[in-house]
Amino acid sequence: MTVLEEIQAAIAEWNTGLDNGDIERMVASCHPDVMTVNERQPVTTGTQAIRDKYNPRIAAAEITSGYDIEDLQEYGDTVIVSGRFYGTMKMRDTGEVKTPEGRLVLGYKRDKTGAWKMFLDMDNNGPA
Amino acid sequence: MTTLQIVTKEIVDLHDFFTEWFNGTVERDQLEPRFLSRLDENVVFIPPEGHIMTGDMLKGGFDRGYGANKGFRTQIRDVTIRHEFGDLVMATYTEWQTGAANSAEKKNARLSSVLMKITDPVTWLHIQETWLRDDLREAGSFDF
Repeated sequence: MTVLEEIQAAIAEWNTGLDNGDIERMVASCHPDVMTVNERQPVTTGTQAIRDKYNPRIAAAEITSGYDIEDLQEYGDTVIVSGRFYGTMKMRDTGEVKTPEGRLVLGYKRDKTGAWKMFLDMDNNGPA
Repeated sequence: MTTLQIVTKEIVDLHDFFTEWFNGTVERDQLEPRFLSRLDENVVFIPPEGHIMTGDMLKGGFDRGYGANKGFRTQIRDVTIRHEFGDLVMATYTEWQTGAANSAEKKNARLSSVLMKITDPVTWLHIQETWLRDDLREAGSFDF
């Protein structure tokens, strides 16, 4: 596999976990000190923060998610990808369907086993 | 100097240059040595609006913006090192702007991440800005 394909597979792990409500599958794709920086929201660090952020979302909605890589920068065992996220959230209580999308930058670092782990998740909302 | 000191100085110095550049108070031939030479050839910059910009796009924007905003001021705060991988450093900082003529909000605050290579001088690899939390922006000072 190319590095691009490996990163796509790592991102698919996260998205599959999110779409299936499997928070531990999502966490397993992360670096222990993963940092999330969502627009107009607090910076979070660590995998427990991932659980704290996504468990309520998983409980509240049926989710589908996708991500298209537009740029990949590779520096040895560290990779930064810039791309677009998109998806749907069908709210369980009202049936309303939300369609979040926007810019998302992800950082990945190889761990000792050679697996890519996400250490950065930073976004900009909107259609840019 | 510690890595934090190196990174902080680099970020502050570069943004001080941006202020001088857009104010038109620095010689025009300083763009290359003080800014463009610090960028990796594959640098990516993403402003809060979410566009992906290359080094060439940045150069074009700076060329057009020289001296165009006499009232522009910026201040860097909260520099924090988040990850160190060999000679790579991922840091975050907040950038506070006043007189930002090209932004919807003339007074604004953004949270930025940067991936740098600790070379001499430092090499900027990836920069992304996103809007800071409203409550933090409203609680912060724009008196600079």
